[in-house]
Amino acid sequence: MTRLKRYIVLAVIVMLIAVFSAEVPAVITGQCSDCHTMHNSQNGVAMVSYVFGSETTSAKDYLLVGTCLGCHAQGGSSMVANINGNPTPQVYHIDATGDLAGGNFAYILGTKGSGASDAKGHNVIDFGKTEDTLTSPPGHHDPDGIGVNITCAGLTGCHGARKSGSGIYGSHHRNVDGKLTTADQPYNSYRFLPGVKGLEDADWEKTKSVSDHNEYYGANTPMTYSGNCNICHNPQGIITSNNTMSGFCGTCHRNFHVTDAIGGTSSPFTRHPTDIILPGGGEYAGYNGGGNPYSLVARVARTTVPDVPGDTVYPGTDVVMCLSCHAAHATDYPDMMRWNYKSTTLSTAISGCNVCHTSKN
Amino acid sequence: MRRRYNNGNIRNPGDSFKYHHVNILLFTILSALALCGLFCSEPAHAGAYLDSAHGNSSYGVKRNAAGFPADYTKGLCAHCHEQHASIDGAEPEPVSGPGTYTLFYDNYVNQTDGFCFACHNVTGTYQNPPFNNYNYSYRAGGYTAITCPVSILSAFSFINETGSPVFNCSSAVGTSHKLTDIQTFIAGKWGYTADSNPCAACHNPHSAQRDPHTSGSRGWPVSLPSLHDSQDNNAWGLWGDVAAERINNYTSSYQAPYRYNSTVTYEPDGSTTQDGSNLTDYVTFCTDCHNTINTIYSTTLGRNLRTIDWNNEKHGKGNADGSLCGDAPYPSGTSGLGKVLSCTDCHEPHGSPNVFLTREEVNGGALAGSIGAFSTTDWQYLCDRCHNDDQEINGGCQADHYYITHHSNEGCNTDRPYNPVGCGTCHDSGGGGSDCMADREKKICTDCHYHGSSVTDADDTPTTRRTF
Repeated sequence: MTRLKRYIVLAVIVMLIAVFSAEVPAVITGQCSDCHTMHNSQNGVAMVSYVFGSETTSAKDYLLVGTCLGCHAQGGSSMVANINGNPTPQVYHIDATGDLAGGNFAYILGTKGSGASDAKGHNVIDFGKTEDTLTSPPGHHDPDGIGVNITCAGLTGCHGARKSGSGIYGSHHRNVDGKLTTADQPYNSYRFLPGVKGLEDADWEKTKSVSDHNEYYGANTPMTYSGNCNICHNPQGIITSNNTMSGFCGTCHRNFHVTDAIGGTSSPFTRHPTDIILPGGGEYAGYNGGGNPYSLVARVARTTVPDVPGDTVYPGTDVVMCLSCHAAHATDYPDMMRWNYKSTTLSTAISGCNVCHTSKN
Repeated sequence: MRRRYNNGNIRNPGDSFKYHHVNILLFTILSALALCGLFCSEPAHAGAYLDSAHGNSSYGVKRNAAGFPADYTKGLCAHCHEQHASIDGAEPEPVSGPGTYTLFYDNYVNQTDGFCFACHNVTGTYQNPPFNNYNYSYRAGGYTAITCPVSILSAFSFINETGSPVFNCSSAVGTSHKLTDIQTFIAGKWGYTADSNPCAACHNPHSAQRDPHTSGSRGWPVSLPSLHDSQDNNAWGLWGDVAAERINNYTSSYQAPYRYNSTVTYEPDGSTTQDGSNLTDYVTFCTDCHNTINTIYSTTLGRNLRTIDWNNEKHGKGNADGSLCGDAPYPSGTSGLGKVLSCTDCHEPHGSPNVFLTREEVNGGALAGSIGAFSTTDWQYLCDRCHNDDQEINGGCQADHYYITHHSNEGCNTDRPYNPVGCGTCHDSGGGGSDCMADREKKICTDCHYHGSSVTDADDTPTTRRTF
């Protein structure tokens, strides 16, 4: 074999590895019957097969063969399940190697981690373990209209259109992956979170590193409420008007985000700010040590959605957000913290704080 | 039989010698490294917060309040800071709404109300367990009989927000550092703002250490205001925690006062150290504000504070004129003059039952009485702790009088400023001869001697000397 041929073969091998080794989510493709059933019956057997817990196999809306949890909360040993050839991210699993970016609802139920606790995550009612402590989303206006009836999608959910009768409808078919900067519909929003911009990691952070992670969109100023309901409420449903991840959280936890309730736009704040630039001076200049490598424990958002994940944080430019401290679904730590804030070892308990507050260690 | 050397496996004698030395060298280096690991290494050092009193794992902050998680480990940020002004959906006590800097209570309200006092208070403290903060005379002076003030709040409670005295610790004439005046003064300086807590003028809450005032067990509680950096706890480090920030670096003439009831141990830690190498350079610290440049208004006094020029004042780097009749351990006579005092040798930092934050115990002994005004002969109680009165110089004279120092060259005193003539010029009443037993009305020390007094400030015939 000539040297040229050897190079060609090698290049082809590399290309094949690149193409087939990665789990590349995309618009749902394949057989319609992978996800839909016309009559929920085949030879007298129900075709609805992806259900969670006590959910029944009765016919589902949109002729689906499963529910949200039926596909995404299978409780298996892998954080990404293979469903009819489609890599399907799991929000509830017992994979000992880790969790996807949003966390793992298994910590709430105690099927993984240090024991069941409502405080470990968002108590999505479909999991069957309702919130016992809270009566409404902390920081929400009162009455809130949500109570503790949090769902995956829909009016009181996070994913898909947040209004009655909509939810995730159609989003899988039109899903836009990767860099999402339009965010005017759920399907072209970050993780179907309506209105949220960002850069989706291709494997939902099954693998993650300083340069392999989601990128979140942030602003340099939080939203201001000031009696303006339209910052969240509009005819399309509940949508954050500033397109940021923190603004999205603020649609339920308003007082934890808006300038009216956090003490304004500059220090001294009365609540820990989000959508505020991580200061470029003082202790913040030392974010996560020399060179400011991106911390997977205390993450930042970017004021411009990047094309690729950044391995460096830029104090003075990047943004503090809710997900700097919390995971979206659940963690093994109280209050959905990204680190063990309740550790009996103080240095461990404040370790996440110290990523930004570098001189208070 | 001649041994056959294989170059690949067996070294020749010459090589063996070299390798032997190499081995010895390696062994020496490795041994040195190992021994250094045992004996040379610094102890594991935590960060500034974990080394601080608030971040101490044994006695650090630990909030005990209704609605507050009891299982938060000691020293955790949440004991002071509520990130969302609520925990588990509700605000723990004290329910006061969101506080600046995410504090669980208003950062500063007034002289006796504010965030720091929520814990630095015995009655109603949120700290678990409750604790005492005695004053400097107790802790550095060793005068453990004075257990009031018992807390920082108590120490600041000798006056109210208007600056008027409040009966406290059996005193109706006590004084405290006026916190609102401090807040006003620091606003706009050194990174402080109008929102800054006046306690933070002197203390870095994330670094300040507990000081047991025990030899071999020390902590450093203050930070230099002018080094304050609102964004960097390390940049605004402690003051006094390194040797270069001790008072023996300000002056080589510091003489530590005695510890209470002792003539062999000294402030501030009861050791035999006398040169100030164990004392924070409080002169540099205090004169950061109280210097010749700054104008500081005192609500308590209703006027600007007098300026302090410690580089020239006699209790500072200025020398006695010719002689001094000092109480041990201070010099007496004409030699050894020029001792330099620390502010804390006479003043409490927070509050005192006396005026001008004057300590109740000075130089190994309690003041014989309280001092309740600027113009009173009671200042003799303070002066007498370090300056011989007439009777100490001459047993035939009166105690608590300073005739000899001012009028008679005898004993240790050789530089009287006034001849004993024309008594009535200064002494308004009384009579008798010109001697130390005369019953002329005593002069008030502070007629002439006070911070910032000038050579012409004596209210009668001016002297030509510095009077302070």
